[in-house]
Amino acid sequence: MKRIFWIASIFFLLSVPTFSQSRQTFFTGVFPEVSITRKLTETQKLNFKIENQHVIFDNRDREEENPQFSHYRTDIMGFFDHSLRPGVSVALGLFHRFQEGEDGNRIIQQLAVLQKGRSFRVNHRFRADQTFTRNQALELRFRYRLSVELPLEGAEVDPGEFYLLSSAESIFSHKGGEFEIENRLAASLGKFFSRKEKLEWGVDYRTDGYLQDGFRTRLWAKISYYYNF
Amino acid sequence: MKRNVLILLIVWMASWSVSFAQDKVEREVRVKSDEVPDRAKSWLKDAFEKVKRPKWFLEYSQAGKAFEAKFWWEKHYHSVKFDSLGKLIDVEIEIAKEEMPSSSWAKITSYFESEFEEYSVMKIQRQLVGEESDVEDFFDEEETEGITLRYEIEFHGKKDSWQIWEALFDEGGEFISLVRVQIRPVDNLIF
Repeated sequence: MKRIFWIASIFFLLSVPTFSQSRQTFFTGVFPEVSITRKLTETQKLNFKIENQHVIFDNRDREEENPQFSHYRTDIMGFFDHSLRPGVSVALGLFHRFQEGEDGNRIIQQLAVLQKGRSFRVNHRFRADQTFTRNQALELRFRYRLSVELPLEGAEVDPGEFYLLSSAESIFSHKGGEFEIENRLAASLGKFFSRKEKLEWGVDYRTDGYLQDGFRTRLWAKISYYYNF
Repeated sequence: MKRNVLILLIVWMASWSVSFAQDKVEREVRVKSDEVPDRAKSWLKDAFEKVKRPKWFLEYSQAGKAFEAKFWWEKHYHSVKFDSLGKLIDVEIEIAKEEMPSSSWAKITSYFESEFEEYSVMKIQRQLVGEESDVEDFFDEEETEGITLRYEIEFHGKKDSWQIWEALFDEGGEFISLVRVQIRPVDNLIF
């Protein structure tokens, strides 16, 4: 547990400098998500996921408006995943976003490749997606996410044990003739209850507006529940 | 899960049972050296003199507790397993395909070719089982008397679909058993 404490402290300290950036857009809040996966056959599964983001602090708002608890967006998505080989799968997803004035739909294509070490797992996720938002140009994105999962008790994550999951993702997008880049860093502490259930607590730090508009950072306190059946 | 299956095989081998045991490792945790029985540490020191700080693990299963030391020795990754009192159960050594005796490997590949449409070997482990003194002699003097050698091979194999498998073969490459290995859910990594 000592190790968990130190890891959590390091990630907290890393996230602190973002609060002091006042000239760029910054907002933070809570980000719960639920993922439900249904195994169809040995090689096929369906995933349904719902994510919700509520803003607690936004530096664009007047001082008296913070702290707040305002709905930012809710995303629902479904994936059909087909395994090509153990640890290698392709998926097709449909996504809908509920966001004030910016409801949108997205189609997602995905390739995931899992590598396993003696005590860790590394996953490479490649995604292409196309987002359709009313009165806006089509947005095309290509994303790559690298995730590393480490057991915190022993050489393998066993039921009842904690693990650490961290990921880095870069997103390249093109919309209405303009290119943009977004980066995401996430770190969470997970508990593997059983093959059916997992729970993760973490932080998700996102930066965008590198090429267009103003630079923006978002920091989310994330809680994720995963159910498999 | 792969670990579970590995332990399952070891427990089965240790019990010399005819039927495949239903024992399952419930959990394994890292432990400090001073929590390990002296008998195990002492055997390890005699057999592998230059190994300074092996990583120790304690495994819980329906069969009871077992201690396992993991370390690198002469460019090979070793796992040495002891029962709860510190008595040696077996030694497993990861080896490369090229280190397999060619006659045994020929038999093993012919098994793969007959049972699977396609296959790809991921990991080969040489298992040594025997009396503590015999296994120690094996490492000190390369003396094989009293030693039972087996090969445990983890591979991707395609029957109806691709799966991960773990097969056990005797020293000559004769097939003993086959189990399927399940990957721990990856939903948090891919979605």
